[in-house]
Amino acid sequence: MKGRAEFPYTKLPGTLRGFVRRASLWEGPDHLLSVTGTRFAEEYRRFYYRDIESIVSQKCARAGSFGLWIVHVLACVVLGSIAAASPFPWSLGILACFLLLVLIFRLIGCLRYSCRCYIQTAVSRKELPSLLRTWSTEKALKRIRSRIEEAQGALPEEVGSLQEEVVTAVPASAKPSLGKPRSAGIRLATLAFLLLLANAAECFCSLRLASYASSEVWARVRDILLVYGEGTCIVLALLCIYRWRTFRGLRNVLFGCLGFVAAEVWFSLNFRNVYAAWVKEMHVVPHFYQAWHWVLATIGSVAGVLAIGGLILLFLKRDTYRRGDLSTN
Amino acid sequence: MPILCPSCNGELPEWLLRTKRTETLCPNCYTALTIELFPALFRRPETIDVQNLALAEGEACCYEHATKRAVSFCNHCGRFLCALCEVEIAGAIWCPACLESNQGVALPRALEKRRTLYDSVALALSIWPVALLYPVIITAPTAIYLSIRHWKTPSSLIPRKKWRFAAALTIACAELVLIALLVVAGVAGMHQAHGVVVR
Repeated sequence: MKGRAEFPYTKLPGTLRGFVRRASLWEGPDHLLSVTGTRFAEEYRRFYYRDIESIVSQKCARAGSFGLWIVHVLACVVLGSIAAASPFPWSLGILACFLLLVLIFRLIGCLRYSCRCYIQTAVSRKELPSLLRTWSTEKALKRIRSRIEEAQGALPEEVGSLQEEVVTAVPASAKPSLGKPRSAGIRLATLAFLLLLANAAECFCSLRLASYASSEVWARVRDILLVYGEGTCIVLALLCIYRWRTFRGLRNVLFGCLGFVAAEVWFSLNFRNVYAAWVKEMHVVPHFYQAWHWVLATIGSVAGVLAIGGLILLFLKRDTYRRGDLSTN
Repeated sequence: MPILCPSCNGELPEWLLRTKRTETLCPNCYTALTIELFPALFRRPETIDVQNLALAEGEACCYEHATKRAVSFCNHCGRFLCALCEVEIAGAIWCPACLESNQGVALPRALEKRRTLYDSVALALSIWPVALLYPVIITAPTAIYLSIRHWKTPSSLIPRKKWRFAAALTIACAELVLIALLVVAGVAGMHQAHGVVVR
């Protein structure tokens, strides 16, 4: 009983644990206690339930402790290397795979389920550094909410428009009336990235096939279809999303892709003939063959990076794109 | 105080703040936000009745403001305080001077802003210098001193055990014993090298 009286705080979900920096949040009888600090000192900040005006959480990617990331990646690499060199790779290999899986889950958590939480009183607005994952934030806020409601009572009657339910939309007056559906733009952009990925795969396949030559009609047709398909999808996607500021990031990636496709077309038109003329000698003259090899590898790599980057962007921002109701200009 | 977007620091428009809990995008930077509002946001600031503050005939006045009526007294120094000067913290009344100087009384827990974790300092002093070996001669006694000196000092506001002090003491003592053994062995070796028989 003495211990309970001495420590009137209950731990709330969410902790920031780094090699140096630490943070946690504690629920007190009449206030929240935010504990931040290093290994050797702690700093306390109290937020009295009666004073809390709002809590704003911003969804964003957060890495957490960089030291833990370094240790985790190093552990994966070291274990993988030892397992590869070992005569019995399974024992350590399974552990390395498990660590890799945990790393992937952590990465997804950092990119998709992270947030920053800010608490506002009449005189200050401070971040709660311990709340960095959305699931812990939800749990903590659920407990804080009930405490605040106990301390502050009901919302004032004059704020009659306040509703109890969660809303995800904005007032109709604030919604843009741009007419064209955004989903078409997203679909076209996805298709463009998939075609780019196919282009990259095709380039890398060509590297392996020694018999690849421009004389093969089907290969030329495949190239042309891929490049012009990519170009068409990119242009249409840009037309669909151009007026929405929410899609700025995607728009820039699509412009990059368009530049790449233009360069590829220009390169094909100008150098395809040279290639056709030299293709027979290529196998004889090693440096020409090597040069063509590097050209194909570069095209494949750039296409692959653009495609994977674009698909990751689409995956990460899918909520924003889905809810992009406010993007009026 | 207006509600600001944490990403762009732009003021969020009123039409976004019409619900108790809103999931939306910031109209300026399009960051996904979840906003929860509480009644304190709509509370008007309390006003002090100036008429009641004025000193009347035969009434005690505030120590700091001679023209103001005293409404309470400081629980630590006993000075009379007016409504402007009294500060209530954890059920006790404080005057601004006591609060600033923390005169003669321990700072209440509700006011503490920072604490040093001497147990972690002692543990770090006993462990980390081992890598460099020689600093241990200084850091091990320091770790022992810190562990003994701050054994009873309250370490943290949140639950924290004393195992770090115990570990620091044990490791530092072991280091000192090892150093002593090394010194003895070194001296014995030197004596042997000079042909002195050590019994």
